[in-house]
Amino acid sequence: MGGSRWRIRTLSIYEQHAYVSSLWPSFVCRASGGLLICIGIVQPLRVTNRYRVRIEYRSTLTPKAWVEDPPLSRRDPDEPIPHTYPPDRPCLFHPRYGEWRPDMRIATTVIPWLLEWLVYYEAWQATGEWRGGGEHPLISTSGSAARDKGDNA
Amino acid sequence: MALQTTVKPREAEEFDLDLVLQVEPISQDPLVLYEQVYRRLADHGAYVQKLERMKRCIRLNYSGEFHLDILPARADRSRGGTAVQVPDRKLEQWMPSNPLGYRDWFEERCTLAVLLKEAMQEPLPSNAPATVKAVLKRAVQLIKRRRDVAFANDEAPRSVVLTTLAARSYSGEPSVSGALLTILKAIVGEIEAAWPERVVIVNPTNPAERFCEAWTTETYDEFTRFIYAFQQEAEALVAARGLAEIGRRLNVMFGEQVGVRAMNEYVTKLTEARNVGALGFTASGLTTRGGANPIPKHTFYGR
Repeated sequence: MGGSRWRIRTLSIYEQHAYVSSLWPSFVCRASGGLLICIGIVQPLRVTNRYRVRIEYRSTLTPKAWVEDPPLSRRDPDEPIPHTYPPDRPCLFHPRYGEWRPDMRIATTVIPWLLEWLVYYEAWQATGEWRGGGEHPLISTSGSAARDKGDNA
Repeated sequence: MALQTTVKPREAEEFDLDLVLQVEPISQDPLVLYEQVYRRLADHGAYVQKLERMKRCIRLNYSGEFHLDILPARADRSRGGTAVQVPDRKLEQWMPSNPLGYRDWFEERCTLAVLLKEAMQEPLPSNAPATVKAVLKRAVQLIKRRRDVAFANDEAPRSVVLTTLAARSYSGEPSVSGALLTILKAIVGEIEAAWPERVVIVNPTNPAERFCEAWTTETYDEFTRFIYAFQQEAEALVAARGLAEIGRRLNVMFGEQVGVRAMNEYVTKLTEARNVGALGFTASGLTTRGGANPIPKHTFYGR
């Protein structure tokens, strides 16, 4: 991680494709027209559901992840699922902390992050509490983001 | 009975403690012994208001907290060992019993897992609980709690019946869920093998002591329905996927939001592992086993 910022080598969508295919045999990827789409079946833990998920990546943008099936569901129609972008796309990393960089592999970051997100989503479904930590871009008087208490910084 | 299978009472229920008072009675009449013990307790001002005559024992009621069942007993010389005889007020005779022998037998059944493990000469799976000996005890606690939730009345199968059935069917499974499935399947098998008669449950250390004698046609039917339903629920629980689904099933089966608490504890443990970097991934998912790929730090964001 300590490499100089101006020397990072952006991985191409073809390299990303190759890493996903070799680490995640259950994923099917297609790279064309500058867009990488990976669709796979994942089961984060033996006790969790299996999900069909979709990752899209255009190398000038950040990777985005969706849960396609079973669809995500709210505990209450008025209560959005924690740590999502509207309507319900999981928010896996902080956009300003450099947690995702284009020299990183989607296969070893975004996909396991999504698996963790799914575990905490299921736990939230079961208990009503988000236990995975994280931050919310709350509008607050001080202008700073609110940090979840507890389990994970 | 010192089996370490006590189930925490649910709301408005009391702990139930048993005490065996073994003496050398001066009279051969079982009722004389019973009355002597009763009167000795009644002499004590603190107890007299709390005493209640039961069929075999004398109950000391600490209302709202617990009750202590004191069972007068004398040594059973014809059987020897830990065998005793206890007065039965209704039948007005001595009845065979062996609570200490029963406890030893139960402990022996509990150590089956340990013995099997040694015989196999291989380590238990990493998800096995630290105290393998407690597997059967945990399974018995689950069965008793399921009973407490299922029966609101006095028709509930007795603890000693459920404990005996569980202990004699347990075959050393290292996991509580595995033990529970084996036990329930075995009880269903016993019910079917005994039909149209009833399953007979005796004290394994004193076959003359029948634990099942209180059953009527109705209560036995209730018991079989309970076991059949419980077996199906347990199979469905083990097959269930999704923390919310598993939590819901646990809530229904064991009451008092047990499922929510279990899911909370599960996630707490997982998160502790994650916070120290012990949660990694392989192609099949997340794992806390060593050798998995590390997961770089990230911060969940968004609303």
